[in-house]
Amino acid sequence: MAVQCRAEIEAGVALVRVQGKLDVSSIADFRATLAALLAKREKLVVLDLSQTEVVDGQALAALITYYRKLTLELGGKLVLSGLNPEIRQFLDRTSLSRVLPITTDTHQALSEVRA
Amino acid sequence: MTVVVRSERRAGQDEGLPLAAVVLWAIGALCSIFASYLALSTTPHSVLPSAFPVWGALLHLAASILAFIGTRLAKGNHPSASGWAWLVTFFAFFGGPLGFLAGVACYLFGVGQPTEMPLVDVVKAEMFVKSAPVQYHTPDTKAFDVELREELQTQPIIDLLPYADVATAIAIVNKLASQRRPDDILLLRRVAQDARPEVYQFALSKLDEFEREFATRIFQMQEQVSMHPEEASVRVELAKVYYGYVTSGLLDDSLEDYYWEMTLAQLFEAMRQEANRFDVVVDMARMFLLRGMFLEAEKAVEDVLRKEPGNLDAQLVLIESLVERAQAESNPLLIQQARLRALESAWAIKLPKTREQHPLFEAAHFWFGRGRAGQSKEEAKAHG
Repeated sequence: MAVQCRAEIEAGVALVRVQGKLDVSSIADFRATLAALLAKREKLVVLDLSQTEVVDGQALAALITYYRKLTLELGGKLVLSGLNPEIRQFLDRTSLSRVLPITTDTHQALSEVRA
Repeated sequence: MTVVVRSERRAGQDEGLPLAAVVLWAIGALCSIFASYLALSTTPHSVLPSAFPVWGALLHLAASILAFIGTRLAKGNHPSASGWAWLVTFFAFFGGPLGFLAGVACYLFGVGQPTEMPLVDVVKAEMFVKSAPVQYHTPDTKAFDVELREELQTQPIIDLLPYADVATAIAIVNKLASQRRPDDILLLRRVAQDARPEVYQFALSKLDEFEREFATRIFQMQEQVSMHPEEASVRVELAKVYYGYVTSGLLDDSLEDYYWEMTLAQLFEAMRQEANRFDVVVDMARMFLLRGMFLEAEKAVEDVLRKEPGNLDAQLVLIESLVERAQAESNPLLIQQARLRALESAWAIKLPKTREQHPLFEAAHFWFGRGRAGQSKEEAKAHG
């Protein structure tokens, strides 16, 4: 199943919903969505992964590249939300669960990104 | 500037004395005393010959052997164990009971040289650094001299190259290519913009050679990954090749970004395939450092240190990150923080053991020549 990325902007926060498998075969859409947000200089971003089945190393690397540009170049903020146990375990293994802000649901993520 | 390094370690402070060694020494001392008693009690008071004190001699010998074994036990597997054991045995054999006790006392007072220097000591040593008072002159000729010397190392290559003849320019290109450090590669890329065809063609050919080496290595490793996609170690190897390419100085900024991401992707895949790869997490932190993600690198290695406090690589990356962040943010407090981290955790840097050549090395060198004397038997055989 191809990945579907939808970005909505609500009260200054960009909410990106990712649906499907986020791997090397479907990464181009994900990149394009994030690049568009960078081009629009959206500084507060929530990445909703509640409907994402899989994230592979390539996708995670693309996410880190985006995170670097957002935080270091734009001074923005990124919060991940709704990770399934498999993705959560992957982030724990890579110690990225300590690096990236993660919340359980989107509502909490929105309040954290605005804080 | 005078640097005074003090070690507060005392003999036997870190390594306890084994009970077996103490018992052996005690028995040895008693044997030695009794041997002396037997020997003295059979000493002839007259000129008449008397029997040889066999039991005394045997006890004396036993005392010497016990001195040897006791010292070996006390020193354990340390490289100096046999030296100490022979020293104490020498005292015991030739000095009788007094020699025995003197040998053991000599050992107890003499041992305890530190085999490693904790960072605590390093930082304490730093506190004893005495700087000579700086004398300011107008103009400050000394500082100017240092600055000039530093400039002289690179200035001729950068600015004077257009004025050099073709042979000299090619020699410079050769020199830069042979050194092959990232800074040299950057200079080589500048030389590739020289107006003279011979020079820029030669520089380009060298750059092309390096590019091809990396491309070949990357292709080979990618093949390996496609053949063993579930092998984490192969992915780590590919990541290392990418890392070398990113830091080689051959790439433009955009390509550097691309290969930086590719490196991370391989590291993440390796971690996905194999749990508890703390070495890979530390590599990931290094990648973060490379792009100025100091806080992220620190969080990652702190996570590693929480799980594996003795991970020296993680400790070093953490200190490196704190120091680099201090420079980037012009915040000297972070350097203080790095020192405090080292002090609080009492991290130790193991010093390499000295590898002194055996006195026979010179003799062996004299008889067999330098090549064979320094080689093991297998190596010597392999070389014929």
